[in-house]
Amino acid sequence: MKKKFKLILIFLLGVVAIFFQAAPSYGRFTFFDDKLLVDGYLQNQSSFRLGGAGLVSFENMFRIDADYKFSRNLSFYGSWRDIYDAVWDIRHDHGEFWDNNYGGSRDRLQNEDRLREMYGVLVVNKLTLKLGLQQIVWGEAVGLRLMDVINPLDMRRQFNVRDYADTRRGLTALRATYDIDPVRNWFAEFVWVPDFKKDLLDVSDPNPMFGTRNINGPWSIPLPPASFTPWGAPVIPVITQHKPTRYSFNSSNYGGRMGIELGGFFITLNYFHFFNHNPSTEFHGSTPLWFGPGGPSPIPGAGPPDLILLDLQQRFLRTNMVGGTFNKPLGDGNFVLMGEFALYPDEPMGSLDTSKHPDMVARKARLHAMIAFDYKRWIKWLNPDQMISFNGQVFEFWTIHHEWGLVEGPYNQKLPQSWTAVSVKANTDYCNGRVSPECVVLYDVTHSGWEFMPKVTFKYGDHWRPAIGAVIFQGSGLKLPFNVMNRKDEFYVQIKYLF
Amino acid sequence: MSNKKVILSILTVFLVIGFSGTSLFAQMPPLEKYQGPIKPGLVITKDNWDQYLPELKKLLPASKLIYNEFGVKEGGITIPIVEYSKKYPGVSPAWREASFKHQGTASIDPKTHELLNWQGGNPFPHPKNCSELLWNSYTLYNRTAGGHDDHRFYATFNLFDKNKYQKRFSWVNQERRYLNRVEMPPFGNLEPYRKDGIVFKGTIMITEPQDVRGFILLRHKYWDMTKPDDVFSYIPALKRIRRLTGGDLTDPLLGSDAIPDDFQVFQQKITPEMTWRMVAQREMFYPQFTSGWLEENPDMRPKYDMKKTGVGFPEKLEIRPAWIWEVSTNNPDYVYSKRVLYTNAVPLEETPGSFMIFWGENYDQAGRLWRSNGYLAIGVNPLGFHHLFGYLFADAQKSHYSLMDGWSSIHSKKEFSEYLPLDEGRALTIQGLLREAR
Repeated sequence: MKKKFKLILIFLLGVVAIFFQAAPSYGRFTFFDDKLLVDGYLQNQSSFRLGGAGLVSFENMFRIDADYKFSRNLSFYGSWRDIYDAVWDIRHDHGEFWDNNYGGSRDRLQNEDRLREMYGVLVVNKLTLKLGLQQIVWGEAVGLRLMDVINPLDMRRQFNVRDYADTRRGLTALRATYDIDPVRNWFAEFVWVPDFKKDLLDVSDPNPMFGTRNINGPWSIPLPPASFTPWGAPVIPVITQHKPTRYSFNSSNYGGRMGIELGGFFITLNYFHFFNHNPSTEFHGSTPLWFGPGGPSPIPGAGPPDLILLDLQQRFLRTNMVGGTFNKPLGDGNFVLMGEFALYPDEPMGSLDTSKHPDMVARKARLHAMIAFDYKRWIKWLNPDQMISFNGQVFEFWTIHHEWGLVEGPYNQKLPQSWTAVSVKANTDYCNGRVSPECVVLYDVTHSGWEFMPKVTFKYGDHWRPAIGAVIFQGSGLKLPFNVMNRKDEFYVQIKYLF
Repeated sequence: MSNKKVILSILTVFLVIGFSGTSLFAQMPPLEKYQGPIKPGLVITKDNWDQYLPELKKLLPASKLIYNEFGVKEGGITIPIVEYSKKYPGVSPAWREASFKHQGTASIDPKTHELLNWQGGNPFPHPKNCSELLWNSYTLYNRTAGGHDDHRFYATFNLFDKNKYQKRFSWVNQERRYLNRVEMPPFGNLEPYRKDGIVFKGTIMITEPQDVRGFILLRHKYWDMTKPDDVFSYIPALKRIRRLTGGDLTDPLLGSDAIPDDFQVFQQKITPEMTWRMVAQREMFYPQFTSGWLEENPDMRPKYDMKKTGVGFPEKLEIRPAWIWEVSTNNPDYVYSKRVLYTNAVPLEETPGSFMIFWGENYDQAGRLWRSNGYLAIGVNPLGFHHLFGYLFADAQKSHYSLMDGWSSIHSKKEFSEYLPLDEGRALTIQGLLREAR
């Protein structure tokens, strides 16, 4: 019934979209003497996986934003999003390919109804207070997050092709900005986040136990296969997750930054004290079990254990980030250099060296750094009307006092002392901004993994914004961030209707 | 003998002309008055357009002629020719007073062309050459429509492919000039200029459509002719401030024909490489002023109905003297090779005098007419401040038009006192952008 209601709703919204499209002019909806402004969009994104899986998403999204200006000094903003991915209904095949592989993820991934942001902004002289459910973004890097760590991400639905603005999870927070000197663009900002949410990543079990349903989703990160003792007894992790209490003063995250313009540089200095959005997995011992008439039992029997249970506790550990950013135009101004440096003095990471770290969690200082440029240039044979924009970034993650046994991620992949990646992006506009191609290439130098994302957006009229794109991964082995996605290449078609 | 005298005389004349050629170029050309049949009271319609076309060619820049023909024949608008409105001031009283008060104090460096010892107002109320006209007209320093000490302006850009509507976007534009402020407080030279040589800051905030709503651009311009502009932006998809390149000032905004360097016709930075020359002074069509406060005189804003008239904007034109002059960029990497500019030539002593550049035609590096832009309608408030109601950006090569329909806080009695002078911290800083950001 709910499914039919959703389909009818999508159909009706589509009719409304076509009706509005008939009117040549665009306008936001305004109410209360233009104090309340409402707009949004309807979107369908259909994704096709290369290599046989076919249609993996038929996602319908409805987003509505409202902006209420009570006065010059007080305003409110809210954003609501509704997602219904019809692929589970379209491809429901009664126990065949789709149901077998992805049917169990329907409840988790098909629907979302969520208030994404809702906050008020109060301006009192030089002080601006932003309070409510919001996203707070720091840093200069695009594509990877170095100091953009205040909000967690929802990475369950093909997050690679989406803007972080669409995948960040809003947090209830207070952001206070004080204008110290407008001449120097000198400001100080304090952030307090009493809320906690974790990153959402679709990590599932590739070897479901007998009798349990496969809960993998189309973008699941496969866990490593089950492990066994030398004598063939399965080793099964029993995971208990401990999350910080939401809306607790003791669980608060807090920090601040200062920005200033000096000598042509725009510089920020940042500090944040927070709970990691991804848990660290602590080893708290193992329990050998023997099969007996009454089932598995810790009472030793003849021979080695038939089953080993690992007591693993996932905790979201506190950490600190201190760093800064800079940007400066160089030369004739067509070249902008920028950088971001975030030092995590006590970043939690996994360790196989149980002699030093019995709980298999180590803390090391790690520097996350990025140097980048933006550059625009005329290439007349490619585009006679507009410059081509280029962006290049080099990322370096350096573990200070590196030691043997450091690992990261769900595969316990070796954490090298130095992890390097580069990215390049090019984009321009044609036909008076009606055709906008772009291409992003990311390369994980350390693990030899690639991600390639071409996209073309079309802007016709005031309402329609179709786009086509692809995301191609290349690499081998169970390694994050790209190699493990090797068989998840997709192309997608997106149709968006603005209102 | 007499033949030799004649030949000698002719030679002498040629020698004089040849040696003084440079200064002749630099001297202001005499006014060519219009003597034709077009007079106030005539209304140009699609029925008489062809009949008056030879005369319209004398009174309109070529690119404006093409646009007006579209508007009349495709959009069905009519263009009334009205009396030259001598009663509406071309500049604010404070600006005119400052111009004459400091007359004679400014000069131009002959090597770098830099303006020296400028104390306020138009630096050369009676320009003797093109260099002096340039510094009078330059929109970063002159105070005319769209360019007062401070302004706040709301506009919608309607984009047309010929007369076919494509799409639109809307913005709020705020600007402040930091040097020689005489019109509104704070007066004098402000701290950004005294400390960092910033003469201008401007922001654009896009308010619709949804996919670009919230994009904000902040520009800093410097007195130093060799220092490029600083450009910051807030990009909603990234939810952060990003420093932009100088190339972003020469790329069209959001698919329109408007580039920031073309705002107010000529907001491009003057560089030492540029050269300029006078072309002519002649009587031409000039957009008519209307006056008052919008609350008391709503008709002062032309009634533009895009659905009825498409690309045609309801203009009224008057005949006025205009300087025509050329600026060559001499920079193969710049988007244009030269600009041809049309400037109000009414003497500053007369009420409508202003040195306002009201139309510009821009040529690509191959020497072809590419873009043009200028004012279609202007309104002045009772305090002598003006701003535009209609403005056009056109791409002659593609017959593409971006028609700006808007109004300013300068036109509204309520907004003039509420928003002006601007709050620097809110309107023109990075932290101000973050405040507005969503």
